[in-house]
Amino acid sequence: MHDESQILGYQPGSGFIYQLNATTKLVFMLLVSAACMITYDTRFLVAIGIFSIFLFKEANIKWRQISFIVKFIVAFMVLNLLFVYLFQPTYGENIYHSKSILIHAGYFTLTIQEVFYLFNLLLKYVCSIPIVLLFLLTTNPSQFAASLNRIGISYKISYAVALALRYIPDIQNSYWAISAAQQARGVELSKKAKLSKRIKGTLNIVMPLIFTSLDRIDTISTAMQLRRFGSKKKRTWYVAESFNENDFWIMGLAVVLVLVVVLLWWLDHGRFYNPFV
Amino acid sequence: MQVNPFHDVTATINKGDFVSIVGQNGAGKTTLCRIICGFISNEGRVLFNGDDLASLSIKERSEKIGYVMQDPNQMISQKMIFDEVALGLRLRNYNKEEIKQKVYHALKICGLYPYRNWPISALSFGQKKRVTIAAILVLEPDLLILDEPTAGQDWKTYTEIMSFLKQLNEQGKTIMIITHDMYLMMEYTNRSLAFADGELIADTLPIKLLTEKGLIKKAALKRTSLYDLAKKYQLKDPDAFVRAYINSERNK
Repeated sequence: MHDESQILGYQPGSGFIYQLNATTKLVFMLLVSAACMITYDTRFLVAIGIFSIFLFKEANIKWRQISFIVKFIVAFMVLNLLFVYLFQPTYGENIYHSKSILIHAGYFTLTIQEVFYLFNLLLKYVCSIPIVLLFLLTTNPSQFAASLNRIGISYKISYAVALALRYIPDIQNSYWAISAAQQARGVELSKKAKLSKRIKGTLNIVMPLIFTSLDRIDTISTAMQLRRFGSKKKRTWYVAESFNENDFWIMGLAVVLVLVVVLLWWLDHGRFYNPFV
Repeated sequence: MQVNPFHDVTATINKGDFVSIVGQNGAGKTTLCRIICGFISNEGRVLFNGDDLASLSIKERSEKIGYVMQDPNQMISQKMIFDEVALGLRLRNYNKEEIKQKVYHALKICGLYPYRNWPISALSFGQKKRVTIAAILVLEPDLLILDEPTAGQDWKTYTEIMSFLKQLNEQGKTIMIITHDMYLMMEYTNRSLAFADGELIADTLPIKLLTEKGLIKKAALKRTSLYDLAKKYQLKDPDAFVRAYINSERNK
């Protein structure tokens, strides 16, 4: 069972975040994600993590829309942390130059330092994922393309990016339609089937989905060419947004956060905040 | 996409009914089918032979209810025509010989037997529609729902398909057709459900739907030219005239 509100994609809304220019949100997302990826300063990551979750709550996103992707990301994150630990359980000690053993297990001995390191990795997910999801959910693809073009990016690239953004909910809709049709023919994909059968059935959907998507790309690009897209150097936009005061404040904030990371790098004598020495 | 959610829709479809579902675009016809088949959730109750369908998955419902969608591209998942029609049978574990027989039979009904070894990519849109009809017909469901089955078909194929459906109906199968085709509604179906703005505004004989002024406007239908012709010649009973014409066509 599935309906419209479960699709992950742009949904119009009101609120501070929806009123921001699309480019502002992109710039903020890119700078803050980059900042969070570079630094291992736990204090910074905790602060941004809380801020990120707060922003998310502010926008009143419905859980139904994001439940699937959040579960998927959480599963991925758990695997990530697990493998990082398994491949080198001693990494934490090496970074933080100290060793406080929690659990004795030979090669897999778990130290507090390793837990702390893994905690930092977890925080990075918590910082960037809400911001990325917010961007996808609150940005109108056409306005986004117009904004990118206004800040100097070629309109063809801007348009390609907007199409990609529009594509995300479309693919989901196609997936559900194909899934429903397959089930109506006798492929059991609900919880009543064994997991292995469900996975196999889902893979059977993915193949036709990929092919119909590629066909669509072909059709759309032909349609665009028929309307003489790309024949001139410049174009005008129907939905161009202007920048206002809030946009400059937010972009300024993003720049400030990057500078904070640089400052912390200098203060911590490196990427890592080390509470153990 | 459904703009007005359903409001107070109650109807009982009897076994052996041949029902047409009509209404403006967006009135809720396809949504109704989706609800019956389990594609989308609903607040009311859907009973089949007294059993509540709520606990059944889409696949389980499909064992009794066959739904031919409006867009054949959403249904087709195989490369070859034969495989597409055989898909449902294979999933139900019929043996090879039975499958071949049933598939060929269904293809013949739909006028696709000459193409039985062809790939689907070689077909036109109308032919693809026929493949999807064949693919569901071959499963012999108790209730058959078709969403605009005759759209895009030439007269010969249209009549072939509809005659076969009429035969199936006479053998006891229940059939529901969503259509904009008034002629189809009157000639083949014996009951019409008209939807407008999420409400069921009529559940009656097809002829009534086309001759009662109030209903015509609300269901955004158009009076048949037969009725207008009768009115022009000031015939005493335009209804009877239209009915007589339809009956004579039927008995040809």
